Amino acid sequence: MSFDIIVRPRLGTGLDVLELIGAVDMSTVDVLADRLKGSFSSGSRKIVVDMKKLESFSSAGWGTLVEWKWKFQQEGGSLVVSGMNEAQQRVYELMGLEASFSQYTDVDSAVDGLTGGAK
Amino acid sequence: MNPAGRGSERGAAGEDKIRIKVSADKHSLNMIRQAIGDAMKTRGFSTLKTAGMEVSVIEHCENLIKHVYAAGGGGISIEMKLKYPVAMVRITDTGPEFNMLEAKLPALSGRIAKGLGGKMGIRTILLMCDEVKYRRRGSVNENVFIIRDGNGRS
Repeated sequence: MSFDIIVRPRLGTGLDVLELIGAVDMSTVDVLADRLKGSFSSGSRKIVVDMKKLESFSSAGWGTLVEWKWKFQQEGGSLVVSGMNEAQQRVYELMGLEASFSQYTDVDSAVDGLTGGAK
Repeated sequence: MNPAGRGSERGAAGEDKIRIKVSADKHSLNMIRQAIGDAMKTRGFSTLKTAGMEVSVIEHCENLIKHVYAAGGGGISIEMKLKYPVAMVRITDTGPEFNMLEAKLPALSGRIAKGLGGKMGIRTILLMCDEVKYRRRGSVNENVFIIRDGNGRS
């Protein structure tokens, strides 16, 4: 199980969709941090982290999302997650992360949520 | 200890025993996750319970790699005993005595509000497992994670 991220910028919205594929743990989390840094550096301030194709997500991944959500927020931006599976949803709820991260069932809903429907 | 060693046998209670020995290295995590996932899924465990055990074991192994074997070297021994609906995983290490059940866990809400990640691993394990046991045997830490399927918890 490898790990990859496909970045899909939504032109004209300042929004990037990061599609995570595979497994995030301490051996792959730097890739996630690098892609978030890349979006931040390129000026995007709204991020959708799409977990639909993510098979496993350890707390190293959640920690990275916490850190980067804070950085985006400091610049008036936001970071949300979409497409969590049942196990990820359970961690999200049990850890109390719903107080920090908005979550959506799919990417389109998340994009709507961040852009007010202007895709 | 790389490449990883694996073995399996049938226990006295009819449970399947699977042993994995890997080097304490982050590049072993994928193999550990796959071994647990394959073993539990083929024995009828639900996706949710299988993922719960995968995440718990990965969190613990990450802690071992980061804190116990940070200087390199060392190995992680994992023994699974699987008899649906109970999955038990015993993980042993030779680090200093550490009982996660007695660890003081910081409040996450304050850390998250400050944009601080980390300190989530042990909490994840304790939330995802139905039972966690610890004992020190000589110079070895032994942690046992138990997950029961079909009871609405993971």
